[in-house]
Amino acid sequence: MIFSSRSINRIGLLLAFAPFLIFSAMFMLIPVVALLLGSVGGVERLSFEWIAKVFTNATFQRSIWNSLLLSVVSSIGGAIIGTAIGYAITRTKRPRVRRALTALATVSSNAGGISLGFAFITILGAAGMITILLRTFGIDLLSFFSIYSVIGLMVVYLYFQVPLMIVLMLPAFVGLRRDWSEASDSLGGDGRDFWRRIGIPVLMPSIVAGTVLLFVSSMGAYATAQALIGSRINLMTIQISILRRGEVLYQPAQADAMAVVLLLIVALSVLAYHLIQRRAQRWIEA
Amino acid sequence: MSITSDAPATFVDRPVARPGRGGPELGFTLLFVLFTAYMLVPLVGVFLFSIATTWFDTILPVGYTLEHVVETVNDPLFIPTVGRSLIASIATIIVSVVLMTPVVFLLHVAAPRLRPIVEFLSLLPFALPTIVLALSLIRTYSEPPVVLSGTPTLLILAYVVTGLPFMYRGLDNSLRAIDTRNLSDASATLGASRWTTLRRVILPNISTGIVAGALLVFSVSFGEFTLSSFIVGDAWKTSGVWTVAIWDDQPHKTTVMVMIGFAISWLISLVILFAFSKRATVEVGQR
Repeated sequence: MIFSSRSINRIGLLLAFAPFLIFSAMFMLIPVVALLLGSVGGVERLSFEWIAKVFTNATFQRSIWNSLLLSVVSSIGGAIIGTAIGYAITRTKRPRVRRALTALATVSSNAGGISLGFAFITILGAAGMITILLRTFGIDLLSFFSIYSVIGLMVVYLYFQVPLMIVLMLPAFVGLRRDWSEASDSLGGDGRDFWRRIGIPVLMPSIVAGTVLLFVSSMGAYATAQALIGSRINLMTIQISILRRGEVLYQPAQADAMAVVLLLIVALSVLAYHLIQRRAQRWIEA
Repeated sequence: MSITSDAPATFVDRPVARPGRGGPELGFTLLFVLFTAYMLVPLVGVFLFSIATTWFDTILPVGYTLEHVVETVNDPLFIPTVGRSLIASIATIIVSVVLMTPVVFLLHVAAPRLRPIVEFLSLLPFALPTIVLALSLIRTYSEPPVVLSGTPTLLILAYVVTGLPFMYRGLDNSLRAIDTRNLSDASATLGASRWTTLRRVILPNISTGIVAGALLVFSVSFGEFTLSSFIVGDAWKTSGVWTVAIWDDQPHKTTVMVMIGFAISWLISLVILFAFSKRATVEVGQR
């Protein structure tokens, strides 16, 4: 083997991996450590006042609550809708429709960022296309819905949550194998038995893992929210931006503390995702 | 953040287990129509706005014009901001390819034991919200010994971090698809040197993976807002930062920029979907 570990010595290998390892240390690991230190005011004047304030200050508490509410509701909503559509895509008898929708879901799951925020203003803002369309039917959308609210953000976030869930669920639905349902049938089970005893238990890890991933993607979302609402809604990411850049409220240590709390929430969720995903893979790769 | 599903294929051609009775097609059709509408109406809205003369109290615009498109392209800030985003994205691709290709290649042929470390580091940006990465980087590089805050260099390196999962997955998938070890051995048996094997056998076989990864990296960094607004801001204004800045005064120009952004990301996704990928690659971050 010309590239085997025997023919390339340890030093050569180390040299080949060094740039990547140094890069990772310099631009991921050390910066995260610096952020952690920043949130406690540095090593010399160590203080947990900023971390504590994230949980005691009413505005910061509110931002955590709003972010969690937005992310939990939109990820569960996205998971339910995405699972249903993913199921329909695997089951439809029209292969062309199946291909087109798989492509649409794959492409749209890449959406996000500032573009999405602005796009939704043009359809659901005060002069938006749908707002005016509904008005001609005598429905005043703005009287009960605003795109510039937590509920409005949920509608926008679903735009990437739903296709993302579809793409995550397709392999799981494909993994539900025909012979399992035949086995269930031949043992005298009906459709309900199949779902209750086989379908749901096999799919559940994938559904839960997908939901966690949607939660992560919406907790960390900043650009979409910033484009859409500026600082009108109190979210964790928006609060971090105000604290780090605001002229009046410039408090970098407080911003770091808030970022550390966000990082902990997201990192723990990603860890949970990997543990659940491992269970889900058992069936998909079987 | 990126996940490459281990699905056998992007397109599900094999019907799956079907317990119970048939006939749900009507319900499926309803779901499909609603989903497609939900995915397309925002695009239609922003497209119409970008070519509308006046549009505030009618369902459709009063008239259509290309004036906003021309004005946007002729804006003195268009070329500089789009140019900077192009430079940053292309530099990101180059750094990512040079940094990741040898590492992932060696994982396959010489150092499989290092895989857990490399995989952990490459997928770490999953667990790092973009705004947290931005704060970490400016916290680290605003003070000596290394001052990079406000420079395009730091922005590009930050883009490389967010692109790591895409490059890793792209390279790893294409190296898995070819039998790297056997190909290398066969090449050596035929008398090729290591360098010839790399250049004439391995690289051509994994070039689709490199290109697919590079396109996704481009898609993530071009039009990006969070990292550029924190790291360089107005000092090195990118197209994303400019697009947001002009919204209050010139919303039509913003929508023209948004249309360009959507067009690029759709084009790249479709190219990857139809030309390269046997696997579905999903992006989860950058919002």
